[in-house]
Amino acid sequence: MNIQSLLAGGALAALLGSATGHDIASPSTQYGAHPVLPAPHQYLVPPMRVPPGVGWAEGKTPVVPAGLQVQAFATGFEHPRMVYSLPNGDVLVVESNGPAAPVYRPKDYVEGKVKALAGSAAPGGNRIILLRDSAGAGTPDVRTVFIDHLNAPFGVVLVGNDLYVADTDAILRFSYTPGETRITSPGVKLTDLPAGPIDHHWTKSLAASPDGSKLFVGVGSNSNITENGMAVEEGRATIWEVDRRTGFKRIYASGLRNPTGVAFEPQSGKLWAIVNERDEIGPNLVPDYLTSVREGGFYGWPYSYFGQHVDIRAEPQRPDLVAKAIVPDYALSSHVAPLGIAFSQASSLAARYRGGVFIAEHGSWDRSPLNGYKVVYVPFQAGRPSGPPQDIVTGFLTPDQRKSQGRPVGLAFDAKGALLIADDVGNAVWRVSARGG
Amino acid sequence: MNSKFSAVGAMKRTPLMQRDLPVPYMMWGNIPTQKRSSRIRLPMHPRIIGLGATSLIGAFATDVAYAQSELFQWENFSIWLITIGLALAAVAAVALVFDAVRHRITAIDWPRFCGFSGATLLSILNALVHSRDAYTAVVPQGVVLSAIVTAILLALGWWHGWSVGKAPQSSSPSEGVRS
Repeated sequence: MNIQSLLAGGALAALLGSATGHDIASPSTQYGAHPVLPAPHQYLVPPMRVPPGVGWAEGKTPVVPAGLQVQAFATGFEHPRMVYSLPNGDVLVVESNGPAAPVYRPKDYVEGKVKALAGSAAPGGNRIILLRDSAGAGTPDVRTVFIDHLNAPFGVVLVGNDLYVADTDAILRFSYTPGETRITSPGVKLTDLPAGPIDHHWTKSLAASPDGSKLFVGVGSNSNITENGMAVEEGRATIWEVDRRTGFKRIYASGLRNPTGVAFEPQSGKLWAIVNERDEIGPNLVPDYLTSVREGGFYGWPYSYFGQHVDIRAEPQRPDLVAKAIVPDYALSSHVAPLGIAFSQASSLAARYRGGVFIAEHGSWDRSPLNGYKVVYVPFQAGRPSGPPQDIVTGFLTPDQRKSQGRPVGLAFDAKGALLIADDVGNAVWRVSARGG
Repeated sequence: MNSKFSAVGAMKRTPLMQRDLPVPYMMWGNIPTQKRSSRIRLPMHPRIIGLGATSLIGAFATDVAYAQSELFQWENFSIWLITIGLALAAVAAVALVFDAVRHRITAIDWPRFCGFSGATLLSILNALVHSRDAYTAVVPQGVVLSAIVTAILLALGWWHGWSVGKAPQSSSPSEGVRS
């Protein structure tokens, strides 16, 4: 990226960024079950800081703690958002981006420009790339277009020989033969998903129940806080349960503003989700979170957050729903934008990173100083979080925090237990493994 | 007809050569008779202020509609009307400079200028308020700001129309032949 865009970024930050950053409590006050929640503010200009996405210079990589190593598994993607490991060791990389956001208000135009600066507007490939590391060298020697012509895909899950892809508007089923490197037969639609003309939060995250009978789909809201009306929120800010055979679906849980990742905790077999919470009421509001998902549970959006903290922007208010809003299990701190979740497995990385969950934090725009832009590990005990998040992969921002070299999105473990990270600004997939392992 | 407007009558007496001088020469300030074209042209800026004021007053109406119905589309109307009003305010400012340079006005009426400028500044604030999401984009600050702006604009417009300048008609008929 050139000097003009940097200057533009600085000018935008100076123009739009409120004078904040000195009196904001540390993100560490917002980790875990009892985050400190300041009073909400209604801003003239919400706090904003957007580091331009510049990509990685030759030889630069993210940073990992002692005992781990990181390398580029593959590069040169078109906005990679998700990674998924197939049983034979092949790795799928979902190249995707959302549809162009409509300009309903002058603000939408400005916001689009600001986010484009951060690299969010780069076109996605709308396809899935297959990578195969036959020699076990840590870099693939086979690279093919596995499935092409998708519509803003995000979630992928394999059940038996059925590969499910969550496009933004539908779940598609593809017949998969182990070892194949290209699927040309068209997918069969299992069910429609809420998309529509706005499609504000467009990603559809996907997981299969441990017995393989159901699919769970995270569907984000169609707005920040209902500014597009409640009619377009039908079926959104929810997790759908979809019957894998019939496609019959029902809302499993609701009030989850943007559940960008759903996954089953291996020990308890329970469904967990990462959720992106609302913007523009403060640099420390509202913390994004990790939570177990209760069947039929309501988690607050849009009427309240973290239980009974009412959001006055959602009118008409619903005290009846606020009263039954569930407090999420584990706050990750505000505006970190968790987009990837992977529970660690028996072979993952090193012994001290087993039993918990890895979460990719894409990074903030509605906050100064910045927050997120890293991959963290949350330890679990007996199926519950048992400590503060630990930084595992950092260095996505430049040391002066003025530019982003990459932004982490999807996570997966490969056949050897290494952690794969999709990076949609660096257009790379990073591989983190145990040093000497 | 000529006798109805004394200023027009005054200019009818200016020599043809002076009336048809090219624009840059006419902008020289030390030759009063050369500032006038052959007929009086109305100032531009009041027409634009009138259009902008209509937009901003309209935003108050759509704000009230939103506050009563809580239908989001009224809020979208409001922010677009405010944005259009502010864009026209910027055009009006350019037109005002044009009117002053071309002597379509002879002086600025400063109290009225401040009134319209105040309404513009409050509308900039109001545009930021209206760029919030959902209810607090309008209630309570948004609709209150729209009401204040509407009151200012209606008062100014009702009192003396949409001009912030003093028009040449009011000048002395002898001015044109002073040299």
